[in-house]
Amino acid sequence: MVLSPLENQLKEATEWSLKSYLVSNAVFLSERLSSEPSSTTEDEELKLHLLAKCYLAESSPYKVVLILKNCSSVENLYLYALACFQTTKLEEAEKALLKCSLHTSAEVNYLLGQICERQSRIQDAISYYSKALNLNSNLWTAFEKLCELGYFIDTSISFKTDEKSEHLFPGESPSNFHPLTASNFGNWSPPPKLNSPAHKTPAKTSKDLKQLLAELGKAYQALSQYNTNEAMNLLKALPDSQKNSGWALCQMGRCCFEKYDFAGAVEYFQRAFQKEPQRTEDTDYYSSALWYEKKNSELCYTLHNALKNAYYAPQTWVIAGNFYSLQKERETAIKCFTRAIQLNPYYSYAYALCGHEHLANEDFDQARYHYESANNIDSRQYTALWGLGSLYFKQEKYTQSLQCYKAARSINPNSSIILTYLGVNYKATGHYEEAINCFESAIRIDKKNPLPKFQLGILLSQLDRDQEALSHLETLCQENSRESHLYIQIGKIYAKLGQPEKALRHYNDAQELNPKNHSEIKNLIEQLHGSSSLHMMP
Amino acid sequence: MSYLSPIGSPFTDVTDLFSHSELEGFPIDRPYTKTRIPLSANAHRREIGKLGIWTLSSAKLGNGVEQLRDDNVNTFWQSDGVQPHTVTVFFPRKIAVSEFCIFVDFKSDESYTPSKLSIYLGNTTTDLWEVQTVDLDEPTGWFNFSLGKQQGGAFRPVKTHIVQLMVLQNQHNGRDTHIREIKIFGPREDLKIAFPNFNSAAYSKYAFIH
Repeated sequence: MVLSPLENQLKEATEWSLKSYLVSNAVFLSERLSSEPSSTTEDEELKLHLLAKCYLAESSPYKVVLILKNCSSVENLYLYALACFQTTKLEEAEKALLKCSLHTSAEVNYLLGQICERQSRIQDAISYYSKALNLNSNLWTAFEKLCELGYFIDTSISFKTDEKSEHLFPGESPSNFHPLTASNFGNWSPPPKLNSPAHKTPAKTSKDLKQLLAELGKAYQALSQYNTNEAMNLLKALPDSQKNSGWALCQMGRCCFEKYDFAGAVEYFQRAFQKEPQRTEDTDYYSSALWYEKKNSELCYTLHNALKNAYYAPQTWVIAGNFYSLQKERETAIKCFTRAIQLNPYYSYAYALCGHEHLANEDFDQARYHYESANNIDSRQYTALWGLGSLYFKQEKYTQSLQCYKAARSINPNSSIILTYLGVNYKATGHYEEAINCFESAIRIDKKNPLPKFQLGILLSQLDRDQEALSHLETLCQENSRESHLYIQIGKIYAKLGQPEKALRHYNDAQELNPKNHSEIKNLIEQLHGSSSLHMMP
Repeated sequence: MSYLSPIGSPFTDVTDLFSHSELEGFPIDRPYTKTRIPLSANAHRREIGKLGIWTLSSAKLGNGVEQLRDDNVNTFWQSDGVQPHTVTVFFPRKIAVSEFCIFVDFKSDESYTPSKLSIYLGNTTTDLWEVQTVDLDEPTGWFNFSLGKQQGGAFRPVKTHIVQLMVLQNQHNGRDTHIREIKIFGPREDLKIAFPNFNSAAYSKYAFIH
């Protein structure tokens, strides 16, 4: 490699600009450098590599695709593939990576995995990601991807051993990074030491990275499998410093969220965002938890902050969508979710939520499109599967809805809501035994969810097992329930059993609990008075 | 028809004087309002026109359903045939409707502007009933007609398959008609899948996966 003095100066100046994040300056200088004639192809490749790095720093991958089209060096092929991937030229990206014959480098395998995942070649993606993780156990995102794809590996092994791995950019590891010293920054002083125990104890160095990643991985994996209790315990067992980090608190929030303990979820998320106000990840789930809790003002406040700080973060627009969804302004909500999808076309949760809004609008074609898109992006997105099932259920296409609910259950077997819906679906097709089984296991899984018991009561009375039905529904009443429909159901059973006084009393209770149900209850009471032989469908 | 008092009929009840509809504040004696800006979807109503199949009695090439529904009052539908001109919206699923809004502009369309309109509802084209007939004098702006049934001092939405607008006459006896925009609104309904709408949070939070 022979560079002229001018070229050398340009190269150094570019590298300095890049290091100081003066991107446009770096681009200008490296463009000058690449205009200088090169004697060898090696020099040419080197200059292009620098230029490509500048363009990537400028986040213009399309420029990289154009300049590196005919390159041959390994580093440039990788950058070319990366840029192709970012501009969704997946086939070119894969071809370039397979050409570069660097299959023992973790980053190449990881990129290949991402390319395959985008093309829905899930098995290939899994094998690439596993290989990437084996080569370099610090590649946490590869592990995350494996969890998202539903491939659960043994964390105790995968984070321990590294196969012998080549690095594409050996000189660019973080250890080579020169931190800014006080002299660079005038009177810059180190931050005052905090009095938290993490800073005091020497124990903080006792853990090595692989051990930490294995612990985090185990918790993350349990959450991905919706073993929420296990995940919660693992997260709580983390060392204090990590346990109180934004990431871990958000994962705990997710655990509560998946257990349908939304108040708990809100609490954890709030702690997380208080600690790390810069976090945009998981703000979408936080806003959904607020949606469940119907916390209008908190949601509004979160949205306001998000719009102020991270206008272009896709999660911000999911918060906005949830805000409007809670107001039942469905068209505006759809617009917000669509914006989120625009900002990140692979945002499966936004697709699912958009589908929900369309479903509520009875716009079934759009709802189906969004649910299916969500599932194409993330086959483990059970929210979308539930939505698709409910869409078919509403259309009375019970075989299709059964398939969806079953698929959702296989992803999240610990969800009492999915089990309840599965039971309702069985009930609709007359498979009463299966329905009862579903309701009973839902009751076992989640004692706080009253709906399976409610449904079980209705079903049992339909099967003329009225006493059992009554005992189920009345236990619900004793749990201090303020639900008008529960009293209506009990009233209906008493009416059926020929005890109009008791029925009337329950109807009156129902009326008191929800005055809006006036017309329905009035009809029921009239029926009670009108019919001598009390024939009522439960 | 029976449930809609004809325009200008005397009040039967004093309370009617001040009662407005839950839907869009239609005065009880005159079931349409005129606004300068269109009604928009909100927490109580939603645009349902996109769920229907639209048919025009006749149209000039390039001035059809698309122009009628493009959310742009600078384009319009122009009929091209004998009166009465009709716009028929057929909903494949029976749906609750509450308001029917049209935009007409006498200043630009002059004798093309409708002067006498009827709105019909029904389940097939053969059993339509008239909801209201309105005379408009040189109208410009949005005219919002209630499609609802009068009940307890308010207009309540009705379920229907077909909504039809019939233009019976134009200003200055013009032959063809121009309508610039039509919107149909229905009530916003809560999403209901397998459960009734619960009133307590302990129940309703388990009714959906969000």
